[in-house]
Amino acid sequence: MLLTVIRHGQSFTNLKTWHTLKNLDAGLTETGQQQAQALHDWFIANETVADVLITSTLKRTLETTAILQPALKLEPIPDHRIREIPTVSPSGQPLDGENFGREYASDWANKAPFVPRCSDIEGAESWMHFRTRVGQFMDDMVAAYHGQRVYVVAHGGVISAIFDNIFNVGPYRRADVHNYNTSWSRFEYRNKHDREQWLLWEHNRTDHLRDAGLL
Amino acid sequence: MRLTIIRHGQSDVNVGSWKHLETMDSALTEKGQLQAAALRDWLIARDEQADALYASTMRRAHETAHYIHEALGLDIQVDDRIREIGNSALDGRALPETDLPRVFNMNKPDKAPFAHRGLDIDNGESWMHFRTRIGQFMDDLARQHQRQRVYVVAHGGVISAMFDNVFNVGPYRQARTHSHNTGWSRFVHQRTSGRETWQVRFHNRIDHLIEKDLL
Repeated sequence: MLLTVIRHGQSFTNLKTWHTLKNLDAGLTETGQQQAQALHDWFIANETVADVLITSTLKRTLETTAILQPALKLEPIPDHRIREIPTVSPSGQPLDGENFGREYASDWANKAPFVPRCSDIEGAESWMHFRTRVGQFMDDMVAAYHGQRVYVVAHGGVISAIFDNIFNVGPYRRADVHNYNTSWSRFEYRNKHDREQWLLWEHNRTDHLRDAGLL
Repeated sequence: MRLTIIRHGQSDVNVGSWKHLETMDSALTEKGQLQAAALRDWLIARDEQADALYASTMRRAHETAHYIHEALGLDIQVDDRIREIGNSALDGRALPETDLPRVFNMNKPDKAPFAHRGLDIDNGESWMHFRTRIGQFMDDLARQHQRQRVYVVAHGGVISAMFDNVFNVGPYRQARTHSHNTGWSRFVHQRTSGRETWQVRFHNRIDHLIEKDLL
């Protein structure tokens, strides 16, 4: 399985004014729409072919997927498990955008992997809850899409959790990953007994942003 | 510290069988030279500045580093510790050119991280020996180059070992990385922020090869 994970375009939650939003499940800014359109155009120019398209169910990823969809010509499959941390309850229920936490724990995943990420909502998920739901999603993809080219539209945290899972990192991690909006990273799962199961091909590719003058 | 690590250009050991090569410390092919020149030109076009340039003492890396030297205007500091796996003695020093291994253990690091890699030399290093010398090199870099921009020209195995160290992966790993010839990856060492010690910014960027059709 060749797995390409795309971060959503710039959204209103990525702006410094995010705390003024009433609903934190916000859509793309104009820049975010342009970034997604640039990736759409780059897919067409490079004759990109995908077998499966999966999207997070937050507004910024749904909007990014809607812009990319005509290039990949697949019906997107929504999956709550690849929403950003901490927009899902530990039991797997997606939260409503008006009920997202706004007060973040001061220590990040490297220091407090088991601590709820937000202190102002009941039962917010921790980094390890988050890694677990992303891991369940990855296991299901590996089982379902053998030999296929899978495109996933998700979030910076999801890409970071995928790194932690494929590199088999312990809870108190010492590395983070950075992604540009609409950048893509590519992993391959190979079920061969003589090599590592996972292969990291590329991280944070932004050719389309360069071509469109959006970097 | 911002660490940019470049894999050498294509060399004779990367093309077909090496069984008949006179030396395992091979030089760049003509294509490898073009790849390195493309990266040099790409760096110059972006007016890239840096504070230090290191290179492995293997010929293919050192030759590639010469092109990077032309772009950055920095002297090349050579270091035996970033030679490709199997090509250094256990004390970290380079093996003589005539003693470089040609027969390799088919069990990869995921299964045999402590096994000798070269089967035709005595007391050759294992993947974990290799990771150790790369780790020593990285520790020294982080100490000597705080807040500086460092370029390193080395090998695909070196980049993979850096990922293992940055992500704090255990010996029996389940992921490896692929790097194209002259592909570059970037890590940021950020000891002071309360966040993770390392951040992965890019892996296997090849914009310069795409521009010049040298993939």
